[in-house]
Amino acid sequence: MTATPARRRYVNDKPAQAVLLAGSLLFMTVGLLLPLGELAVKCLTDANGAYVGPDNFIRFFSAASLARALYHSLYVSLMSTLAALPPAFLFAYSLTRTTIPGKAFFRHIAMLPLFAPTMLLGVSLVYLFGRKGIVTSGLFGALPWLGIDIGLYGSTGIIIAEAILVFPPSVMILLTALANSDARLYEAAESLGANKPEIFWSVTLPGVKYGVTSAAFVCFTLVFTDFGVPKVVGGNYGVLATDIYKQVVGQQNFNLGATISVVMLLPTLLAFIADNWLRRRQEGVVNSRSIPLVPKRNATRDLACFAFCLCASSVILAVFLTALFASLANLWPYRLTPTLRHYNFRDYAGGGYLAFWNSVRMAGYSALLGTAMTFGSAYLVEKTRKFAWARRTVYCLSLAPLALPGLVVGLAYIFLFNSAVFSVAGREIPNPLSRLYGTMLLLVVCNVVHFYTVGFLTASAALRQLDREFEAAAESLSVPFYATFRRVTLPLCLPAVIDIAGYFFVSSMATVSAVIFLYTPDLQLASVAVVNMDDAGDSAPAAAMSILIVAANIMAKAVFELASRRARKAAERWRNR
Amino acid sequence: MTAAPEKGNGGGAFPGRRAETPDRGLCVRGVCKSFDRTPVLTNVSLQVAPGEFVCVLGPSGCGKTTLLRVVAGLETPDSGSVLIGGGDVTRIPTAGRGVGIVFQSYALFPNLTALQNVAFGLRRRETGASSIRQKALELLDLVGLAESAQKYPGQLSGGQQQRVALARALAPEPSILLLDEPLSALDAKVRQSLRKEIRRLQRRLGITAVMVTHDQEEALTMSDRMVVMHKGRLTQFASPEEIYRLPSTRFVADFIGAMNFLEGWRAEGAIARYGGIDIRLPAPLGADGSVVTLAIRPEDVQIGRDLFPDENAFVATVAEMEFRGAGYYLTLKALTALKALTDGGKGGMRLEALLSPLRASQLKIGAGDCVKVRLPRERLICFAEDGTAVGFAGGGPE
Ligand SMILES: Nc1ncnc2c1ncn2[C@@H]1O[C@H](COP(=O)(O)OP(=O)(O)OP(=O)(O)O)[C@@H](O)[C@H]1O
Ligand SMILES: [Mg+2]
Repeated sequence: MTATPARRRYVNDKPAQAVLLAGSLLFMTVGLLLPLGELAVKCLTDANGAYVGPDNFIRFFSAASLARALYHSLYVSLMSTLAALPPAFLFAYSLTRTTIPGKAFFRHIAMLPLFAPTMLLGVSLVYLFGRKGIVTSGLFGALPWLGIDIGLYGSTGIIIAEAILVFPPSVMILLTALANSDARLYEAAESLGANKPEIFWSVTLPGVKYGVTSAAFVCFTLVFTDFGVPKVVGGNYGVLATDIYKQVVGQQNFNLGATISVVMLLPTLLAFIADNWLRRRQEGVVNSRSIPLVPKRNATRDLACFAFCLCASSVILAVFLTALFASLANLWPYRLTPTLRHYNFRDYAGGGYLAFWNSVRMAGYSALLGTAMTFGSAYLVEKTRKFAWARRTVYCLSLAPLALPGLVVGLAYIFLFNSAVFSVAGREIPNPLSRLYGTMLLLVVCNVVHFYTVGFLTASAALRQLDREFEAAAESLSVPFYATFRRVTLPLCLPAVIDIAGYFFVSSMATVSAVIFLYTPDLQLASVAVVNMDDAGDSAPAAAMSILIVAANIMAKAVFELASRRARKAAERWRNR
Repeated sequence: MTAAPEKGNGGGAFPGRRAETPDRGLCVRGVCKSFDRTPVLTNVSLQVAPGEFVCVLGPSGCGKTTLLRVVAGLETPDSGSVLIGGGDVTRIPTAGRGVGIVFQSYALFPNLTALQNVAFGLRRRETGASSIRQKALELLDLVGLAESAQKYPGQLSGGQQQRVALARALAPEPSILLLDEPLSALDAKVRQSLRKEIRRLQRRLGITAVMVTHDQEEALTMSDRMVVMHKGRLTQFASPEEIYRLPSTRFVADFIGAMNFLEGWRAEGAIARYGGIDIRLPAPLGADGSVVTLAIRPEDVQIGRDLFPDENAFVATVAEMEFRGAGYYLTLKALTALKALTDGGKGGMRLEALLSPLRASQLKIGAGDCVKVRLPRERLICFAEDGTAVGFAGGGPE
């Protein structure tokens, strides 16, 4: 054994890692940087491609209707945030700090809106509060005293629907914030003789204030950039998102569309930066020595919280059940006998089942490509040692999509991929990327980029939990990095990988904002079909398609959940005898 | 701190002499490394003979881990080179260097069994599919874990995990074994037995090994030669006995074991003077009139009651006497020339001595007693003002 050679046969990891990093960078360049660049070009030029400087922006702010849309967008975003946060806080509080039964049930119900295309909320509200709605008509005349018209179309409808829409993400953020508590603080406060309200104001709230601000920013951004709800219940109440759609799809005014989307991007970016800045300050509030708080029983409080959770869950369920009911009713509101005829999309625009299966395929591919790209990139960033600058760049590019609204991404994509030629400095060069237009691949890439950051951060967090020396140990054993990745890293991160895939699937299935500019008559999509059928006044099939999307998502989520649970159980096996 | 230098490496008192074969073993030449412009390694050179066991010792943050990672190829040095088995591997990545690494965190793959972990670095093409298992089992047997082959790391104790990590590192027959604080996460008992185990294995396989530790007892007992590092520089590289007996700088003397430092002596030939006391040195110092610091280990300070000759002796009182199991620690205050020795109000010359219980009972010493103290000439170390050892053959840095 003494006569071993000093050197060993080995595979040099460097070229393969370089290729992979280059691939990741190329993907982000084509999928993010180039489209955004094209968007910037569009908002600084006129329809003929001549540079006009800030003219488009001047036109935007001097056009009364457009400036009003900006005001509308800000108004409904603010109001929806204010409407959603208190119930979301109470809901999350009930799930973490009380001893009520049925927490898992409540949590699942609260997440339901994530599975739906945002139009579903609008459609459902129309069936509840619209002109022929259940409430407006006093339960179809059965309870005339109930018949109130809340004036749904316009800001009221948008705010109600958006408040429900942003409920799940705010609950999720607040759940995390409330779960990270330190019991010692509460004990200290109690021993100082503070009473319950004092403890709430001096300990509970300060502990979660960053969670609350973070939830507020997320709510604001989601509402500000949402397209589905205002499209359905906005009526004449124009907001930025619907205006972009009108300019681009209706009037083919790409330059103004680009300008509006940049205007829309600014508050979103500000919220993103502010949130990151605040989050950085929060670090270190809870450390490893913190003792998690175990809620104590308190009959009155628990009863009140339970009642509240029941109410909130009922509202969400009611919205979904209304959509289901409407999709099954024969001829609303006259003949309510159940029928499946609205699920036979043959007579309506939108593409019917072809569109639905296109969406399922798109979601499946997005899950595959999205998981591969985000986990792979996070792996390269976190676990390889070479090419520090490239890894740093990949990291920064991976965070950017979080700040980009779907509409902006979609718009940037048509600008880049739908033009046959680039005009660079007066000369025209053929655009090789235009071949991607109208393909499934482009839709998938668009979704992957749109939802990139959440997947990337989930992967990073999982990878950071692994021992930093695994790679070094494997390298010293002359095992190439891809073998270590396959045999160690991937199996250990499997639960996170499955979660990421589930996230990409569900999000891609339900999204409309990014893909609404990219679908073609040959490649229709379910969520776009909802918009188009609703546009044509076919609310019942729109509801039916929304329900199909939700059903597909619930089924997919169940499968992913089961797989992830099995993966976690395997990890358990490694730990215990 | 009493580090008994008992070891049985059978390689002679200074096995480092073998290192005169630069074409084999490990050779580090003038390595420099900075992180963000902060120098972490400065001109580190090191030559480890084949089959030698070297410990790297130094305070936290002095660059020990970085040195090991440079040798392993996990960090690229800014300048300098690394040679393994005579070949320059500076530009060769870790995978091609044939180094086995044992990490402080073990870094065992939790989803693989002990057997799979050990077999991880064995390659089918080179070892043969059926014999991979055979070889992995042999290695597990070598570290006494044959029965635990099918267990996952999470089901093994810390000591067992470290044994598996050792077997895994040795499996592809590396030419060099690198260990970064492999024992520091273990409790004292397990640590003791694993020290012996690592040494036994290393000797049996005849493998060159470099181990980083911050435990000086570990370094003194385990190594053939040891490296003491300070602020990214290699301060001394010698056998444990030599490092203990003849530290090359004041830092090493202070860092390893306990040491009395007697400041402010004026050198005159082979004599050091301080306020009326003359101390004879083992050899004349270079420049007369320079100020030096004398140093002596507590266990080398002789205590008596007029029973030994007068050379280098003076009278002192026992200010404190503390029992420490293996012996008594005496804090002595020089008495004869107390006034003269009073050093700017610091309270005179203080000295610590270690006395065996047997000797203490023979002398019947107690606190407050007056005793005669002798500093044996051959046990004295002398440091110049810049902190380097002066005047003694073999005492200077290599
Ligand atoms: N990757 C790195 N980037 C920046 N600085 C580093 C890096 N690795 C180490 N350092 C710095 O280099 C110095 C030496 O680190 P090193 O880990 O080699 O010390 P050490 O002697 O092993 O210390 P310890 O006994 O604490 O393990 C430290 O100040 C450390 O902060
Ligand atoms: Mg270290």
